[in-house]
Amino acid sequence: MRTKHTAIFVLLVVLSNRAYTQATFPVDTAKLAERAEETTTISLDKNMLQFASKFLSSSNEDREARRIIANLDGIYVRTFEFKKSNAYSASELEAFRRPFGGSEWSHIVSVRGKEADGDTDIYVRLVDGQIRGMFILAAEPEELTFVHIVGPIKPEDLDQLSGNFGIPKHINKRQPRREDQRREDQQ
Amino acid sequence: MVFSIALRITGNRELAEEVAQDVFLELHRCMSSVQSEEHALFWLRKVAAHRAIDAARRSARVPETAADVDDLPGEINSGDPLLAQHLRHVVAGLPEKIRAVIVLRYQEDLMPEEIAQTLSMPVATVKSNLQRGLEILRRKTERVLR
Amino acid sequence: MDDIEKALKAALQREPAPDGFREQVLRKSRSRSAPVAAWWRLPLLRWSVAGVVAVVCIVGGVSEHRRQERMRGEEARQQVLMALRITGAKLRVVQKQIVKTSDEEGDPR
Repeated sequence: MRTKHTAIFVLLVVLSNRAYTQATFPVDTAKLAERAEETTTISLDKNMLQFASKFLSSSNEDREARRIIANLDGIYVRTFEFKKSNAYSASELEAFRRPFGGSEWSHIVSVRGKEADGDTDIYVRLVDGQIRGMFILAAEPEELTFVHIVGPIKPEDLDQLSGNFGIPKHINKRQPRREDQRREDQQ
Repeated sequence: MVFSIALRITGNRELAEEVAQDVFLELHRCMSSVQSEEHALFWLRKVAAHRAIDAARRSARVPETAADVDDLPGEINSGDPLLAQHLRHVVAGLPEKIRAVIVLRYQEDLMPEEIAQTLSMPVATVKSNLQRGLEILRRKTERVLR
Repeated sequence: MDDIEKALKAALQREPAPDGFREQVLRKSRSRSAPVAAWWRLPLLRWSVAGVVAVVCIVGGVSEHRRQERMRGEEARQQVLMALRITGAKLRVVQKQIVKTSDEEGDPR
């Protein structure tokens, strides 16, 4: 019985640590920072978001921002700009994608563009069918961007942002659809 | 004048004496910037009123009895001494800004525009404070006037 | 002028300063030119200076606090907007790529 309680306790500690880590930033980007020409770091937890909300104005963009961040628990952004292309390897990119391979996250967008366009992956964290987090990994030849949004983001939030923050509509399309569509065309 | 303004606004003789001394010492320090007797009078009223309002707020003391503001019998040229005493007591109980406006109007005979300059207040606010002050005084004095 | 105003004028006649007031002020004003160390001996002056310093500190402190809070708030606002703009920019790139892919698929060959 004691062993079971200890195990549960350890599990809770591990899970809570993971939750804490994931709540801030789920990937380690320290090595990228060392190589980057320029780094942008934005870390806004719930308290900071609520504080910032008080200073958002009545402009359209600010009003939208206030609405979107109202229920969020955090927004974390890391952008790394490099002097030259190929500053990071394919295996490094894979390592960044790995934490999102588990059941907690759904890989909703995977775009592999031509060289200049780069690759983008979007993952959402689902809890009881509701989106409770989003992670965007945008890899361009000379720039890597990570965006981690913690908390409920509704698809309509993203739709609504279009025009103010340039969020496109209907982002829930997976690249593999191409395969399915080809099979349909062949039938 | 300075002591009297301070007394009517603070409602306390000791405090009024401190404020008045403070004002004159300040005048002594700023003598070089005084341009004329008229300027000095304006300056004294202004600084006395402001310092007295500040002192009154800090002490936040409303006189318990008329004796607090009426230690000495004082020479009153006309009118009922009891009424005068009552009015002084009611004035001492008014909010500081309204009190200052009433004192500058009826003790110093300043017009609303002059009061506005002295207290750095819009004329409209001076007039409205005057009106409010008089309403309170009338209400609290009705029985005495009959 | 109505009754109450006349009564007020009579009631609020100037009250003379207490006896010795003028001499006290003159004495204090002379002592101001004395060595600086002496100022603390004068209770009134000490109160006045301390009062002024306290008022300046309190008013200055509150104003400075508010100014700093506004600066921090504005900085936080800028960060929120930047974060959302970066997010929007990346998602726009995705949209373009998806649209591009759809167009290519729709092209009959």
